[in-house]
Amino acid sequence: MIRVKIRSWTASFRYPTFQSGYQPTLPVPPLSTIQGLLSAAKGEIASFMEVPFVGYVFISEGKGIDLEKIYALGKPVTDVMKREVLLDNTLYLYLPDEWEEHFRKPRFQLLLGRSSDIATVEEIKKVELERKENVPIGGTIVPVSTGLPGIIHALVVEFDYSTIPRRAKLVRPFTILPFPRTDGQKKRQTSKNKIPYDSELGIGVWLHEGLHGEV
Amino acid sequence: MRFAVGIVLIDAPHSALNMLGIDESLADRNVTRVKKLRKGGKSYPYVSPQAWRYWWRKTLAEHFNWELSPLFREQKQVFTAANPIDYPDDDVFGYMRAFKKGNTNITVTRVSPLKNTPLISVLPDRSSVTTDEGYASRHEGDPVPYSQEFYSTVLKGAFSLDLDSVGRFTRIDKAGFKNLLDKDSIKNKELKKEVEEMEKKAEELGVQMNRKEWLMPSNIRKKRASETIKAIRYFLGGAKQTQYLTDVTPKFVILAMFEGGINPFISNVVYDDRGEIKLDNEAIISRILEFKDLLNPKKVFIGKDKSFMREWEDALKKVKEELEKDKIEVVLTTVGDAVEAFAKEVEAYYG
Repeated sequence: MIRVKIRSWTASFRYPTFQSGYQPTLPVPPLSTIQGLLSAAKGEIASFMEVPFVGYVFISEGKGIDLEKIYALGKPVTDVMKREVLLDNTLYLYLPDEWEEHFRKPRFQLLLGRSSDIATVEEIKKVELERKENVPIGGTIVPVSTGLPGIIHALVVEFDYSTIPRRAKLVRPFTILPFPRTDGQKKRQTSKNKIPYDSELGIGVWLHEGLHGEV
Repeated sequence: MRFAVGIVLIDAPHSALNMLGIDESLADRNVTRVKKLRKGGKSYPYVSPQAWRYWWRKTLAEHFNWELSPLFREQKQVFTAANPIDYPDDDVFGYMRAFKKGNTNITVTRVSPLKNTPLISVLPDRSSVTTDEGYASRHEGDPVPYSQEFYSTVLKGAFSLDLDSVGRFTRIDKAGFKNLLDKDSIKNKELKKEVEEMEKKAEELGVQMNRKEWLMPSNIRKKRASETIKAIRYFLGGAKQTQYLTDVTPKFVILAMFEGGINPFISNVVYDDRGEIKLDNEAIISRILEFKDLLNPKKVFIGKDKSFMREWEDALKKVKEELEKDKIEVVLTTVGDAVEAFAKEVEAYYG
């Protein structure tokens, strides 16, 4: 498989539960953002149907709150909304080899969230992940069935773009695991089962495989 | 496919270009803060991406006489006209307009061909931000104290313009791809008339109108794309200009065209070294060489204002030397000349 290293100055991932006047960001991208990245690289809407597996590790160095003027529904005046933004981000994508050509020459600009979150490919390399027990997982989302502790959200796996506006095609509950930085966090987010391990980053990589043919 | 990408540095020696407003967490509520992002134990002032876009749009209107798409209210929401034929800023900056007239509910969206990051301070707040204590007073009655933050730093920003998408409007029934409405699918008379007028105008201009896509004549696409680039040297805008008078025209730019949606300068090409702003020429060289295959033409434009960071000059000569060994031409000049020369390359793309 290949590992694509993507970097951006800013990123924002829509928090699924709506909050009035405040838009927080998820600490890691949901699968639908990954679908968006794959689509932008390929130049056409990609579906996980065609991708046998995908794994990712997202690391962010900081955070901030931006103010945005919005024109709210049903209100004649403009309003100011707070929006959370992640700073200096790295996303490692683990993909089948055939994706290398798309990420070498992406058809559209790669974004980690909104149009201001321009990202760039910094490195593409072939990696072999050894399956190991008792390794920490993080910077990703995992199915709730793994039993790992974390915040649970119903997240969109994939969007259907054939309707306007786009429609969520598949929504599933996931446990959100931020990238573990402290020993305590690593310990909490350790999986007892054998999972692929990236020894360079020192992190277990959850490969979303079941999506193949299911979406 | 071709993308015009770059990085700009804006020198802000005493500035407060984008404010967060009153700090509500303080008991006094009289401190106005600048916008900041947090990283590790440090904070970095920034200008939000939408503020920078606003400057960009305004510059195009003032220096290139762009007639900006009007804002109008409909169903208590505000939209631009969503008419990229008449309004170049709708074309270049994109739009979303949720149409709902009578029983017709048709939404058009256009992904912006021009994308930009925020402008982020290279220096953290502890070496750039200060709080100014002010008093509102006319020497009669009690003076009212207030404080406001401002900074002294260099802001970095990156952008990417999708040259293929400028003047190309898709009409596919997919979310994000429906840039224009089809008059046959509209029942509402008023809306139908609006679309018919746009079609008439498009015909007059010589737009190639296919069922799935409209393509503007190359001279219009060329004008829109190159003026978007040329505007870089004239940027105007920013808050608190009365008190700080910041010149927001970039003092340093790196510009290049790539055949892929990447911007290799979104990386640490400038960095903070104990309060000093340094240029990492090795990073610039390696990032460009990494994407050498996609670089087209094999040219990189670097512009620097003479008085800005004089100590970078040797490092930049090294960039030129090293890249020219790999047959990449490096145009090392002033910001104005670099932008103009780059705009010419952008024009050449449209033939």
